Order: sequence, then C-alpha cells, then structure tokens
Amino acid sequence: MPKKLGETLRSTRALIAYLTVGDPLTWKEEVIKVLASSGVDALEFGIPTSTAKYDGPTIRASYRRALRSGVDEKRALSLIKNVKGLKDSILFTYYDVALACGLENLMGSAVEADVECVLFPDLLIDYLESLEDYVKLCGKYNLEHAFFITSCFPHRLIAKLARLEPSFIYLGLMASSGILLPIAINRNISVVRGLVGETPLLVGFALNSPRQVSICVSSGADGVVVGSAILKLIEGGAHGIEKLKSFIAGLKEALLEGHDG
Amino acid sequence: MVKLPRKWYNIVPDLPRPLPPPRDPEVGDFSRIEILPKLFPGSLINQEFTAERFMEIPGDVLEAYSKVGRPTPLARAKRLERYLDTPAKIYYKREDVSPTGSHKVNTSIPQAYYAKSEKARTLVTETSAGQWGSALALACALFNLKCLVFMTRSSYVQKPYRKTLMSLYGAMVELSPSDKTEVGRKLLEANPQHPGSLGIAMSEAVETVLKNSDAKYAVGSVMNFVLLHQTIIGLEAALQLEENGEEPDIVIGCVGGGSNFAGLSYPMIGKKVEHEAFERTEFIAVESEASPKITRGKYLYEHGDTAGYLPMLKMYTVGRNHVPPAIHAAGLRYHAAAPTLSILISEGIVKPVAYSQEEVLEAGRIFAKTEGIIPAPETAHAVKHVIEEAKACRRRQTPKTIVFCFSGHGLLDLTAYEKAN
Repeated sequence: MPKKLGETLRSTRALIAYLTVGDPLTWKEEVIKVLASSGVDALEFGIPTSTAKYDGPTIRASYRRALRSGVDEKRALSLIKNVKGLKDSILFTYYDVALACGLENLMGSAVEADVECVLFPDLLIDYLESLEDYVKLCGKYNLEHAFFITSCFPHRLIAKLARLEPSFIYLGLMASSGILLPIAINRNISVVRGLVGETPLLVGFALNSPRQVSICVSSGADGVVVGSAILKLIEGGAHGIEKLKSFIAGLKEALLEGHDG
Repeated sequence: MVKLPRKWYNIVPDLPRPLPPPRDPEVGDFSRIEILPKLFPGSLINQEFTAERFMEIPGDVLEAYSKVGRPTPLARAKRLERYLDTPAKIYYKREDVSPTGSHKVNTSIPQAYYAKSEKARTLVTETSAGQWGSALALACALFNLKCLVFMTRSSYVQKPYRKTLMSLYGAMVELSPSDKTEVGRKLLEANPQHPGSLGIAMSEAVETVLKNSDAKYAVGSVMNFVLLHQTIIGLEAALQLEENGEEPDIVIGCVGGGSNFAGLSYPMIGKKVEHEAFERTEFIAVESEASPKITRGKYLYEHGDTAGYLPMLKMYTVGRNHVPPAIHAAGLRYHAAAPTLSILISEGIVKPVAYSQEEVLEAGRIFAKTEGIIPAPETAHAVKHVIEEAKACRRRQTPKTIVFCFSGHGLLDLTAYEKAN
C-alpha cells in the first residue's frame, strides 16, 4: 500500500510546487516534468476562481487566464486526473467554491482525480463551524485532512487542530500569496511549531529564495510550498522554464541542508 | 504606584475565532496589500501579523511614555458616586493627563519611534476631533520627524485650537478635503464646502504617502498594532486594580475605531478567555448613535478609508462613505470598528451600546461638576453608560465595581458643549 502524504511529510522534508489548473500560460506537461525531475515532492493544484480571497496579483492573474479559457471546477478536476509524473498532490480550493459546486461532488471528483487531500484556506476563517464536518467528509471519501492557518489564529484553535491528527497544517506566512511583507516568519513559525507538536508543518506564501527556505526549516517547518515565484518564472516562456530547474534545485538544497543542520 | 509594563499584549492569539486576514478587492488596478510596506514601517507590519502574545516595548518608547506621564493614575469617582447615590464603586483610568489630553500618545509615540528607526523623515496622518493629530504632532516633535495632518473641515472649523496645538509642535495642518490630493480635489469639485470625514482624510493622507518615498503613514485606530500599543492602558490598570484589591464587574470604554476601549479591556479579556481572571467581568463598548457601526452596522469586508486605498478588513461598518450629520459634534465618527473588536462583539464577549449626542454631553457636564474634569465628548459616551450602570446598581441595591477609560479631556472641545447647550 502506498504511503499516505501525511506519512511522507513525517519522514522527509518536502518541497511542494503550486500550479493553477488550466492556466494556458503556466499549466503545461513540460512544466510538471521539469518540476518532478528537479526535486519537487508534491504538487498543489489551485482551482481557478474569481473570488481568490487570499491570493495576490500573480495567482489572481493566472486564475483569470484559466477562467477566460473556459476552465471551471469540473474541467479543472478532469485536467488534474491526467497529470502524470508526481505521486502526491493536494487540491487547494476555497470552501466557497466547494459549496457552490456541491461539497460532496467536489470531494468525489477529488478522489477520482487521485489527489490525497483537499485543503480549504478559508474553512477555519469563514466556516469555523464546519470543521468537524470537513474532517468527517474527508474520512468518508478516504481523503487525508489538513488545515490552513495564518499567524493570526487563536493558539487554542491551533493546538486543537493538531489533536485532530491532520496530515499536515499549512501556515500561510503572509497576508496574501506572493506578496512579501516584512514579517518575522522565523518567529511565527516557531510559535506555531510550539503549538502543533509533531504534526507536519508546511509553510508558504511569498517564498522565493533558498535563504527564506533555510529560515523556514530552521524555525521548525517540515516543508515549503512555492507558488507565485514558480508561476512568474514559467510566464517567462522557454527561458523561464530553463531557469525553473535551477530555481527548484536551489530551494531543494536549502530545504535539505536545513534538515541536516 | 505601579511600574510601567515592559511588554504590550496582543489579543489575536486569544481571540475566540481566527482573525480574518486583510483582503484585496476582487477587481482593482493595484494590490492594497502590496503597498503596505510603502505606507508603514516594517516593524509595525510585523506587529500587525505577529503570532506572539506579548511584544517587547523598546527602551526609547518606554522613556517617552514616562515623559508623557505614564503610568497614568487610576482614580476613584467618589463624588460622582455620591451624586448618583449609588452603591457602585467607579474607577477611571486617566488618559487625559498626557500633554495632548488623550490616550492617542500611547500609539503615536511607538509609530514615530519605528518610523524614525527605519529612516522615514515625515509622518502623515488624518484627524477629525484633533486628538490623534495632536498626539502624532507631539510624537514627531519628540523624535524629530516632520508631521503633516489632514484635518476634517467640520472639526477644523469647530476646534480652531487643535490646529494651533498641532502647529505649536511643528506640524503642518491641511483642511480636508484639500486641493492637495486627487481624492480631495474630486470631492471639492462636487461640493466646495464638503464637511469632510475621517475616511476621506485617511485617503488624502495615504495618497500623499504613496507619492513621497521618505514619508510614512501613521494611523490612530483600527489596525492591530495600534490596539497592541494601547494595551499599555489596561496592563497598567490591571496592576492598579490588583493593588486596590478590586476585580471589576463592568469595564466600559467609548468606541470610534476602538483603540481606547481595546487598550483598557483587551488585557482583561485575554485573562477572561483563558479563565485566569475577570471571569465575571462584563465588557461594554459605547458608540455614538451618529455612527452606529457596532449596534446597527454590518459585519463584512470594508476598506478603512473612503477612497479604498487601504486593504479591506472584516469589520462592523456603516459603510465607508458614511458622513455623520453636520449637527454631530461629539466625535466617534469613524465608519467601522477594529477587526479584533468586531470579532469580540460578534461573539458576544463585548456588548455594544449607543447613545445620542444630547444625553452624552449631559453626562459630560455631570462628570465635570462632580469630578472636576471635563471629559472629551468622546469620553462622555463612556461616562454616560457608567452613569446608567451606576443608577441600575442603585435601583437594585447591588454594589458593583465599574472601571472605565477616561480617554481624554474636553478642554479643546468646549464648542461641542456650547453648541449643544
């Protein structure tokens, strides 16, 4: 039986790459191949939406391109199904989107698309009362459950989430994806680490350098998610995809060095 | 006498729900979140998003706090108690003793300090009643920064001495709406006598900062870091109450954006939600019926300023285009309540009430005659509710301990009292 994503994250430091499903500029077979071969451990798939609550300009623009080219939730899920080359994947979509297209419907399609986990960034912020329902629903569909939090979450709630034994907790480091603010991420990561115990901790939002990755790992993160920085590179065309290889390799190196240290 | 606390308290880790992050509008030509580092010193942005419960107060800030009279006294309103013939004990935290007469220095000082440490040369802000503008003017004088204040026209006309006060500290004061900004010019074109609003003045200040690389924006309320700085009030008060052997039954403060209320109450609310103390304490936020966001507003994402230059925050709001009626002279005009306060209200931890200008100013007069200090009209809102609670104690013959934030004196707001006479 293949290892679950949660187990993988407990045993190795993971580099996770974000891609917007169906964005004509960045959603390419070639890109996924490059990501897989240069050290990415798992993919995070974003479903295009016009209500991108916590996304910055880069991901919002990619959502808009995807929507304009006719990629809705249903089409997005069928596109994920065809992705080859990387075993592990996370579906990243807003709970709003799931409610609009039917929660059970979305979970069912996620299983068909072979993702391990559906992560809703707005679940605990706008739908805190649905926390238990979400965990049950994941169980019903044999999906792993995971939670998105920010540095402005109640400590009591973060500790409670850890007790629900998620595959991982994902800490959004910035107010919005891809927008770097002068926030002491080392401090926030170590506070959260202190609250979640052994739960795998992923961090993301505006990570774009090996130095940041080192800081994340040495502060207590088990893995990093990189999104906007990757999209920006791919938007640069063939030249950008070439650069992507060394970019990913650099991040991976920082990730593993932090691990050894 | 209690010592000056060395750390501010951040309530965010103790809120009953996650604090919704700031958001960009779905349609927009630029990201409001992306411009935050242009507007604010990095240290303040860091405080806005910190996961830590306590934050160290820098030495220079502590020194300046001492200079402006911290720790401030916690006084007992015995003459007011006797006048009301109430068994209640009434205490008030005297934030009026600062040189500019209000609690606003508690955040203007650290904001000026961080701006100076990060090499800014000018701080720009807005003010309506003038308390925030004067507090920032003072802090800029202490840290050798230039200060530019956009003051709402209605207040500028009603409170001429506020402008003099700011000028004495070396600040430049612009009437808002002004012809110095795009948003101001647009509004003046439509109505040359536009009374202005805090939201408009904020937009003018933000626009000015975005066009000047050596300037930063200073904000008087709403943001987490402002409320964080204000917790110095409640941290001191908690120690002073302990010294008096008191644990309050009721804690009261007035709310414009929420900073003095939060300042007094958050350290106590934090202990309450953690079941460490203040378990039986009720927390009551008093607003003006002229800008009734917490009693009658909607809880949704809204810009903090009228033009929408700032990110959207989830707050109780009466709409960012809100302009209180011209007759309203008693302050607390802002259209929204701080996001953290909004959560506490929506979760029922803080109870909101609202009063009209007439009854509030009458309460102010009673306080002046009994305690000898003229409350700012804003503060008189808190006084009004204190009197109501004290009367209820008399009716029920229940002795309760009431603590409220005496956020400022009204010596520069005498026109408000005269006008409503």
